Amino acid sequence: MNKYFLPICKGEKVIKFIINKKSIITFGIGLFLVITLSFISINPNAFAFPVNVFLLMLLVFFSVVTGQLVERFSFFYSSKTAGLVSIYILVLMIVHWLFYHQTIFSDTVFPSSLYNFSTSGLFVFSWMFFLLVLGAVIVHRITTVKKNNSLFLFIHIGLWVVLSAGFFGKADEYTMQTIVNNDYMINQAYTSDNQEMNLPFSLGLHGIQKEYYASGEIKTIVADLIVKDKQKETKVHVSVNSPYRYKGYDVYLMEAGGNTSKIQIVYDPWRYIVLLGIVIMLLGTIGNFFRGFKNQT
Amino acid sequence: MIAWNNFYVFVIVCSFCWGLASIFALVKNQSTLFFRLVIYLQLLGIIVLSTFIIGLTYRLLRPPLQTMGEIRLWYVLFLSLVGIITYIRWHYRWILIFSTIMSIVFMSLNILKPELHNQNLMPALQSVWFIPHVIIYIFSYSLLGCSFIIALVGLFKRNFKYLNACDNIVNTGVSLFTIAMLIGALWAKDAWGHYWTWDAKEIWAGITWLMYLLYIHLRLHRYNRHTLSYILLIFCFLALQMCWYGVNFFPSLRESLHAYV
Repeated sequence: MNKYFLPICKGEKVIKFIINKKSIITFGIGLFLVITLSFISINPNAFAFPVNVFLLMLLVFFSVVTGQLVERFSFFYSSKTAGLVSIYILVLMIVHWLFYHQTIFSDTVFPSSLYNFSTSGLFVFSWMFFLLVLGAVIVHRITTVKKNNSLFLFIHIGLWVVLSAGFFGKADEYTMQTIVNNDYMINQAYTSDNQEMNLPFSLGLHGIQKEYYASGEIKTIVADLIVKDKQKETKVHVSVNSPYRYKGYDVYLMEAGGNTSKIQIVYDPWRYIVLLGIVIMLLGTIGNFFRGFKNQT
Repeated sequence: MIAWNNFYVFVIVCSFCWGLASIFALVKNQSTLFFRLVIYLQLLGIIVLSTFIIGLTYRLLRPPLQTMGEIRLWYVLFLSLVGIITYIRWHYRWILIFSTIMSIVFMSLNILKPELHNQNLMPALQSVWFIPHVIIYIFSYSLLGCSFIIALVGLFKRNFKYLNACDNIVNTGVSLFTIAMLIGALWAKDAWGHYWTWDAKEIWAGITWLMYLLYIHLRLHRYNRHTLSYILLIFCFLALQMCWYGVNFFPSLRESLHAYV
């Protein structure tokens, strides 16, 4: 009897797929990549400007190439890939959550991705791969499909802008903390790895205002800061949810007590690009909410 | 004066209205009168619960959106609203039974385990983003909860016609979930300096969001995978529970920026 006429049940198909030589090789390469990349720790600031812009342009170039050569690279925009990538990212996120801040793995043979996922090679590779697939999908949609595109493009381009600007912008971003008090002005702040950074202005504390509920719980905390730039002094108010922005730096109130305040200073030159991505995505999502579900098959 | 200590009265009235509406909804070959009666009873329960929420807002001098007990109130309100909308739109007679059972369970939890410990809004929650972020999230949770009920019934009955309703409800729910998440990102930038901090709560919001996106893409491109779609929807809802309150039971939330929720 011809072998093609033999009935093959689902279980057999799965077993055949598993023992297939091609699947074993693909799985082996994948596992090797995951393990190797887990052991590589990447310093985000190594991608600082102009490296990040160059990488971004390279990513756009490859997305366009992949998206346009649809026949050769159909893998990149197929729903199977989207599904696999999503499942892969889901697994990575769960792993990240499970070991979130569990520094017991620090300085051991365990891969860095277990306790510091966002600076691991695995994270960087996964993120870049996801951006490449997403970019290819967008290019394919623009160049090939050309219909019912507006909402799709809003949502997907918005997501691409948010993820790429958030990722590459992280390299130029600095988060610093400092203590200000009434006695002197300070223009140094420290990153989480204790690196001293000079600010283009000085900060001092003028006073702290606290308001309480009748129950004695804290209602509002406002720190009155003095910002001195060259010879110009300005008095500003900083409170939770209400930072002060100056020369591209965002000044946040972390803690306030006695005559000192703990201040966080964030320098994030890509913040408005991420914001643009969020706005584009919001518009697309609101549009999608009103349009409803439309099956494409 | 409306307060938590007389909440049980509102629960009894709401349960009576919604219970009666659910029983009437189960009647086969309904006349227009029965159909309207179901809607009016369901709406009456919604008005009663809304009255309690408004009264509580006046009592607390802030919107009741802070503790888990307060959030449950909104969940029940939106769930009953989504239930009646689904009933009117798709005529699923059984949907109100499920939305009523879930509502009664949540309201009973509030009576048995009230979280009334904090009446004041802490500084971190005093933001213009607070109300839209929480309300939109809870509305999306209600919709996604409703899709979970439909998926369970569809899977149990081995009937795939319910997937169309699931698609519509999930699409609306995920749109709202996305909007709430983006609003949360904007708020986080204002409060902590970063749009996303890989916080335990945020990670689970991301996982839930990705899972629902997986469902939407599966339905768009592999329309005939019915059983898989139902099963995925059930897992999506489990992820949603993990995001909503599941993470609260794990040590990772102690260091979380969302520790107050």
